[in-house]
Amino acid sequence: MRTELIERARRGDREAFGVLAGGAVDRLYAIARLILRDAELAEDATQDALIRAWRDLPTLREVERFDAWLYRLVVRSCADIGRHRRRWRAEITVLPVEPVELDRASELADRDQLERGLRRLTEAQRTILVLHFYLDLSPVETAGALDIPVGTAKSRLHYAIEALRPALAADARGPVGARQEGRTA
Amino acid sequence: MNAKPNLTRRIADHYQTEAPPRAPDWVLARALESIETTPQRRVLLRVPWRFPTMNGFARLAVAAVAAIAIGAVGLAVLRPGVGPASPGPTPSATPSPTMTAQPSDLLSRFTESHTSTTEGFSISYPKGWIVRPASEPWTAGIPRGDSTTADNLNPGNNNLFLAVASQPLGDKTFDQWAAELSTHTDWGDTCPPTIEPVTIDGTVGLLAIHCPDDGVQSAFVAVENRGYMFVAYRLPDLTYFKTILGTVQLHPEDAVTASPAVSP
Repeated sequence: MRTELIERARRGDREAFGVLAGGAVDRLYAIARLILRDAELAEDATQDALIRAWRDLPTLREVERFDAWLYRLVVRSCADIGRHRRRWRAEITVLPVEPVELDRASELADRDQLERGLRRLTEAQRTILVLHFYLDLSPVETAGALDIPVGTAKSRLHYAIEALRPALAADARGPVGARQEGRTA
Repeated sequence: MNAKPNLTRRIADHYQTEAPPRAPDWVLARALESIETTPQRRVLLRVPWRFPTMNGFARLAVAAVAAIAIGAVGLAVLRPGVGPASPGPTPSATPSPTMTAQPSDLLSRFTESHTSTTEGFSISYPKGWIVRPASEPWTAGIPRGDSTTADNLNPGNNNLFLAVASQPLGDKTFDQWAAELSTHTDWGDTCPPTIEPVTIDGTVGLLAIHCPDDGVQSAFVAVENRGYMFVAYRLPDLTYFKTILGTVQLHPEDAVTASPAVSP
């Protein structure tokens, strides 16, 4: 059924593409939001990825790799939009912190600390973490989504995790960062 | 307790908590609206990713045929004075040398037209797009998607747009003006743009493909000492941009004169 939809969309059927896009948009948006840490940019990146998907669908060689291909498109859109829009915008909207009911204050502090640590990483580092830990992609699948060799994907993942450690340690040494971002509990 | 699994588990848990469950409805709605005016790429020759059932001889034969075909096309295009890509040296209303493949079917989609009395030009664009005219003069920098210093044509969002602005050249030559703007830091280029000539309304200008080539291009032309800049942001492809440029008519006499060009 899905394969048929992809084939139809590839031949220019906009209705079929609408069904496919409807099934993918939430996941793509989540990926973009986690990578870019910015709601507006994530919305733009998601739209951009869907438009690219429509435009480039006839070039997709293996229908069964449709999902990995979509992930690659949204990652590219994040990289492009992140770079261009940041320069073309007066200011960046900071990811709003939605009120979350948590039983323990330590959990909230822990989450904030990790959030700040992730913000200190580069976009490329956050991308590989999102693909691996959010999408649960294997190193082979991650490499496919990023169009890089498997060895590179493994080492990039390793270095992203290692880069997070000092970021967390730096954060743990002082609560100043939390106050600066106006995010104290 | 091992610290490494603890951190990786924290990251995974964090992402599951932080990931928004749903995209705003309008994200999908606007994307689908955009594709209504977005053509798909055409695949002229679909070659399988691999050759699973071919033996070595068959692969060699396919490769040889492909090489001959590419060589033949290359010869046809590159041989001077032969083939369709050999425009005359005299300026004409025909689009630039790189626009000889202007698809008529694409051109036929640009059914709407916009005339700017402040910027001094007219242009055709696809049905369904909207036009947001400039509300203030362009004096410096590169107009962005949300800028008020350029006329902005887009399909309803700023994920894809064409911005057009004009200003007097002042005491600069066109080459100086275009060089400054095409290499402006606002582009965020990571390497020099690729420059090629383009003819807009019979006048030869410059077209810049910004680097990396991710869908940002600009074009520059000047008539009667007025410089025009066209910013293409993620139009479907370069041909699309060039085809739209082919519909442009310049009316510098109608433009509202802003202060002379300011150095970027």
